[in-house]
Amino acid sequence: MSAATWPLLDPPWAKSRAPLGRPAGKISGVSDVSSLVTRCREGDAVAFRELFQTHRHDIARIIYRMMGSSADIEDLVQEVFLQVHRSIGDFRGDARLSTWLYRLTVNVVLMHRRAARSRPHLVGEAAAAPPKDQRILPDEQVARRRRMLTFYRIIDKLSEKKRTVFILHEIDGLSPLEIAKVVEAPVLTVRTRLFYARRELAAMIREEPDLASLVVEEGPTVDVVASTVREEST
Amino acid sequence: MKQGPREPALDRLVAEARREPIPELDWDAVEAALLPRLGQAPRYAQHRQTSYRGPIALALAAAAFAGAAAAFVVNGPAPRAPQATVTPAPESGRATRTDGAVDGNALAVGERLRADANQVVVEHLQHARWTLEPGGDAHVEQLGSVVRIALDRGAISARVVKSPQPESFVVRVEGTRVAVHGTAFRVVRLGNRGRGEVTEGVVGVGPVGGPSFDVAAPSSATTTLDGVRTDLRHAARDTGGKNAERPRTGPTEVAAAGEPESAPQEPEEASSATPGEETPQVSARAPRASGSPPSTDGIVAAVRRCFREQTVASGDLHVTVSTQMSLRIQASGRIGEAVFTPPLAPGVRRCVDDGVGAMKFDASPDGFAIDRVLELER
Repeated sequence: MSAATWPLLDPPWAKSRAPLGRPAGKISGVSDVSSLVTRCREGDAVAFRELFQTHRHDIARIIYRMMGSSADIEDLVQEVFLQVHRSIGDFRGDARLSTWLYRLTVNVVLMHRRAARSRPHLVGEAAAAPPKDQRILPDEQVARRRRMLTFYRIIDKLSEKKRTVFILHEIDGLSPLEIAKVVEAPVLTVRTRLFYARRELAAMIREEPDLASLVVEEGPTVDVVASTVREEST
Repeated sequence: MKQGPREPALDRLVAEARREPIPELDWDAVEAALLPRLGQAPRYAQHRQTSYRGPIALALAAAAFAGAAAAFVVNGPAPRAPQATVTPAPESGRATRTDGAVDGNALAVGERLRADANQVVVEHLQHARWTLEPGGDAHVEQLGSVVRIALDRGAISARVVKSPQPESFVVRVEGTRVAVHGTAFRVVRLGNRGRGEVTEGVVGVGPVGGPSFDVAAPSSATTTLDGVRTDLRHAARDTGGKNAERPRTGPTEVAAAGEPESAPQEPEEASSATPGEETPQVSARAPRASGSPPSTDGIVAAVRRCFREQTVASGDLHVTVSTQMSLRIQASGRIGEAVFTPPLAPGVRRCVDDGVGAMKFDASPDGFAIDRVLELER
């Protein structure tokens, strides 16, 4: 099959190769999602580009948070949009496009993680390495980054299902109802997974030496607030 | 909404995670890398060729769970479905055809086909020609511009004409969906999994309603019955020419080129395998000259040892677990992928990874794969 056979590779996609990272002034907005989807199905390169531009940041954010690091993020973004390109015909409009994209993204990340997990671990993970610019960061930023690495490490210990709903809800801010659509589970199940995810994480945080200071630090804060309230009331 | 009691430390970490900036990607680079990949695997782009470009054989061997497979009994012929439209399932009942040759345009959605001793060949004019191999059982789920067949038992081979539709012929096996896009491939049911072998072109395999992944020839992929890929391996490229130059092969030839066993028998063999009897299922392309590779037994022993050591069993409790081990050995001899279905417990898995990671097979030109059903005891 030659590339020229596919309109997706034909103009205007190929000829109007404005960098996708910047606003594309030439592209007229497609406000109607169903119209955008229809055009994508028909191989409309402009529509697919608009889809890409509109949703790429959301997808990158989800991937980053589910992976806990920036490793492989560009590859996974590509993989997600490949899946979008391939599966857009399956989108029937029952859910919002963003929900469908979230579902696709979550599945791609999970498949990637499963594949990575199935490989023998012969070398240390690059993600565990400190940031390159660690020396120039203020101490607090270094400490925060270290906390985040530890936090994502313990999140990683959660089961796949609990980890997914925890990240989508607590960190990315999706409602349980939205998550239920993404993971295709009942809302009650989502809430249950969230409950146990939080409980397990709280226990792991208490056991984690790197976060011990945080537990101590945050504990008295509650007491101070409580005592302040008492003082004010008296 | 907060689930459970408030945990100040956890809440603070969550808040920091929310505030953490997302790395800005080099979107130009992403685009530059993505674009050619879209060209390689277009699914929803227009395609104007309408002639046969080559042999497309699709074979699926699936053993539906016995009770579910034979549920439909048929009373009479169903009304014909127009060729160009998706036809809803007729409510008046479903027909069963067991004759040797069927005009696809005379089929209706919901119609069932069974191949007993002889194969059933169905031809949709200008669209597809597919064969339900002996012992097979399938029913039609969709007709028109997209033909979708649900394979309940046995194997299907198909040759599909290129069309403007990116997916014009789809075979569903339980929760796995296989979309044909100008290719020749085969899928074999192994116990609770299916393995697809692509001998030409690219097919999309994945869960129904979910994202699919491309399997490009020559390679094979194994999935669970809900479409989750468990391994992907590349086959040897020793076929003596480009894919497009291969002679057209009928279903039987395709089957013969892949798995040696006949499709309908595979599920029974897989399901009847006694767990205690480890059933080596070395890929047809794995080196066979010296029997099983020298390190295979070592890996099995390592898995057994890990299971014994990492599985907690109190008193006289006897724990037995059956799992299928699939190893993909790289050309260098290193293990590229080790998949266990169902998966091992995390502790056992870590132990296996630690032990297996140090092992190495003899180098081979294209690598190979090993499948084994293991019964682990503690």
